[in-house]
Amino acid sequence: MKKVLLAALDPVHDNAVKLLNRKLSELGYQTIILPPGVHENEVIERAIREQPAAILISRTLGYQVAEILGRLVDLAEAAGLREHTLLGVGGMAITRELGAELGFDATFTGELDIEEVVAFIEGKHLAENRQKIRFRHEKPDITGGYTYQFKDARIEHLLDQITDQILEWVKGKTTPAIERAKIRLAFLQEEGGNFLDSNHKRAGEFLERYLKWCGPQVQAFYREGKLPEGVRRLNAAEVAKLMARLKQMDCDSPRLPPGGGKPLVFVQYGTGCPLMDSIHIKTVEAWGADGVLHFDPSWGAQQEGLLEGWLSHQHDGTILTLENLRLIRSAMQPTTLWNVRGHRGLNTPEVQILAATAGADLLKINIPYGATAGGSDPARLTVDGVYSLRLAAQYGLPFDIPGNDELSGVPPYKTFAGMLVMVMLGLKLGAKPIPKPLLCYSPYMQIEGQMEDNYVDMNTAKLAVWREIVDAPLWPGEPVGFMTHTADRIQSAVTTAAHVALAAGLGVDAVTMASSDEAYSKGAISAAARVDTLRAVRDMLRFMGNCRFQATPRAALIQEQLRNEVIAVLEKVAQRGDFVAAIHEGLFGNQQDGLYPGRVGRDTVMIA
Amino acid sequence: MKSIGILGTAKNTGKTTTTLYLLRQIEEQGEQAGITSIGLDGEEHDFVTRLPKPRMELPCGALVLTAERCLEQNEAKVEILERTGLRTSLGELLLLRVKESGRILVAGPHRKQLLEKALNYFSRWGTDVLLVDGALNRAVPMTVLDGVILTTGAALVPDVEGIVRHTSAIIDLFQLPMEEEFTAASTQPQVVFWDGEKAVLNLRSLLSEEYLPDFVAHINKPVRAITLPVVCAPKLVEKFLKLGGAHFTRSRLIFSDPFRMLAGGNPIEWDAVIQFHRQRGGQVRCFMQKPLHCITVNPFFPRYDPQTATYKPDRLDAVKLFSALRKAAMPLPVFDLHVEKNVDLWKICQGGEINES
Repeated sequence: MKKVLLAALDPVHDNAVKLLNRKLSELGYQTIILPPGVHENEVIERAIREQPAAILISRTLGYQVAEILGRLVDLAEAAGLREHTLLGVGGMAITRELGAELGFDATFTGELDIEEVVAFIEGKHLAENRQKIRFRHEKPDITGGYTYQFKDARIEHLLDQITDQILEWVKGKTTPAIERAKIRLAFLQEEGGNFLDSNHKRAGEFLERYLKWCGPQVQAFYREGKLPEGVRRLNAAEVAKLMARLKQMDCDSPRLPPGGGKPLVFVQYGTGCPLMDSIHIKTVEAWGADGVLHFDPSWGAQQEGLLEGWLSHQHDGTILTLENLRLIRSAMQPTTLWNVRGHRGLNTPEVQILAATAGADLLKINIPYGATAGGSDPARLTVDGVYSLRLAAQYGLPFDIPGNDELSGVPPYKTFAGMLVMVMLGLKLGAKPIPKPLLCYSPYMQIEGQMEDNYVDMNTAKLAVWREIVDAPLWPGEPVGFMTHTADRIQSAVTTAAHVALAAGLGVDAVTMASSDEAYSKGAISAAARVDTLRAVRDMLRFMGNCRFQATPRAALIQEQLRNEVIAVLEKVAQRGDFVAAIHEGLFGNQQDGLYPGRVGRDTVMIA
Repeated sequence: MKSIGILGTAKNTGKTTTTLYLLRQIEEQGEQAGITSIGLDGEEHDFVTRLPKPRMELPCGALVLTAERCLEQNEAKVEILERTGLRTSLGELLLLRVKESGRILVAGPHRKQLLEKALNYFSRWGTDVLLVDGALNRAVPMTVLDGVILTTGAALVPDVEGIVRHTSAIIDLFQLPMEEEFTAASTQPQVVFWDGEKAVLNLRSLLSEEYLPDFVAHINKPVRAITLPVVCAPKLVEKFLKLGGAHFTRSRLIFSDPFRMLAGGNPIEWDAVIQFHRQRGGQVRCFMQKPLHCITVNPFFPRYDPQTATYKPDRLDAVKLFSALRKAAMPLPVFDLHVEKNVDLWKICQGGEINES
């Protein structure tokens, strides 16, 4: 095995060379390690004697760096060592530019990457934008390994009743959204592309049929080219230029949980501009995110019909068009998981179609939440939601069920009841549900004083009650730690990281986290803030390793209480015998909880 | 093809300015210019002081050898003529031709072996003159070039006398006569005694006191010559001479070349050794020499401001510095290229006379 000479050309800091010494020795290299503070002459003298394959130098202190290291390199050259000995340098004081100026054969920056060091010693070349190790070989299936067996017979029976009623109720009903979805799907299946630019001979005919079911704003867009306020078209040149640049930014970073494994970490995006979104996505990919979620603007959900083309929006939320979605997907690494939100509003079925066509891996559908906090009419969203679940099943795409109505003030047991209905409904229709209990400091918790002492007990109980009820994946989001963040980026990163670590210790399959400036963003969400949080999460997961947070005995009491309260809600809903009415009457959350039935799409359900 | 290295006594002494000055003249002469660096040149800001640096703006038609990653910051339009397969820490070295003038970051062959190979690439593509920008504290790779220009100035030390002393010492190294009688029979030092006996010293460098006793033990009678084709620290050479005492009187010390001497230690220390030995009737020679064509001087230096913890540009008295250095270096030409715009630097490098402006 080759000989490697290690030296810290630094008065005191030699941890890097000691670490290298251990790692290289373990790999069978013969290492010679010199003490800190050694002079460059001594390094070269020793190297002349030992004739190593490589000399690896580290330097931490920032003064005289160039002078000392430059001299060492020239000495090595003068001594004839460079004909057979490689010179590598690393350390806090070293940058790639400095290494190049000083004439080292390799410069190592950032965390120690032993693979990179070994490749260097062996004279092997790792490609410039190299894939260091392929950390992600394929996309994981979040639902894989779960049986979806209900462990609580009582709850299962109640859900069975409720969902049978829903499926019976939706029979023979349609909505403008469903009609649009059918037209869109037919057009796509004929490879029509988009309506306006298509060469398809029947594009005009399809468009007319489509517009019949659209609202005035969408009609104005297609007929007159009128864009909504704050929206502009992106041109082909700017798209091409940025996308080419983004492709150069691909890097295969290690996953956030040390050693891989659970949970998958998702980040939500929706800057308004698909190009900006792409930059954010590349950034979070580089820092270890496994997946991303697309957030659209709320006004888009409140109008009948979807726009098309590359559209940039000045405010929060990126407009759902097939072109925007395809653009964003093309920027992602192939292994990045992608979820597109469409769980509320007037376009849910069509969103599922566009998302699936553009390459989404996951969909999002939650009728009780969308029909209350999401603002959609309960009857409308029930019909649309069931249709969307059928689409999810057809596409074979899992759908997640957000529990964000807690943020309105709804107690978790009511939210969970609604989510359980969606689980059963999805299963009956052949889809694969992923419940998303929200780990948050919700208004209900604050008012009721439920999380005064710690955030651990309640969140532990929430996840535990799900495990107790059904064998299903769990994915807390969006985002974890909601309402524990402040405008302080460090505080936000810390609380997010703590929540992720808590969830990880409880074995969840995935988490969604936001950027550290997102909860209280007074402007655009910054990529830097995203990096803050991802770094905090990485370090927290590293800190915890296989350890877990220890909840107090109170967590078990909360868990039992939650279960009983979920059952109580489901009993009332089952007894009511009318799911839509149950939403209207506040059984899944009422005015006192801060929830009102939605109105968007009222009276638009039709007989098919 | 003629190759010229631009060697700096420190950072910010004007290597890039000198390189570009010469490049412009070569282009005006209609010659095919090539350019590379043994370090990294053309960056926007100095990576230590963060002060702005002269950009490497290359003319249309110039040939450049630079690392692949430098192209990420390229502003010139270039054509890749050849991928050399020579690797650096910034990627493979590419031979480029500038198609449209612009700024380029140049990181070229960082060691002697690679620079030697690089010469072949430039030569093959018809280069008439190759300029090789230097790098901080490194000179040895330039042994493969035809000659050098030395840049110096206040960035070395913000004191006229200090600059003159240091630069003069370097000039003296480049003016050491070439050895004609003895050859470097091996890569190890050899002692030739006046009685005709010879001894090869088992020494591969003279950088540590550890080997001195063994070394001195061989010096048991008057020495006629001692070849030192290894890297030496000047203070150890001086110690060795002192330990050898009278045996070294009137002897000839022969080093490999001024570049290796500079790598071994401070030129002022070398000056002390050389003066010490000459005072005892001795001679100092080199096996190899390279023409030092001229000196350029830069009065600028970065002054550290502790209050703001930043560097600010400052200058010495340019006239005082220039005239002191000119006097010390005579007859070697000295120029301040920030002031003198019509120096025929290219003619000087070809061995022509000074063009006084």
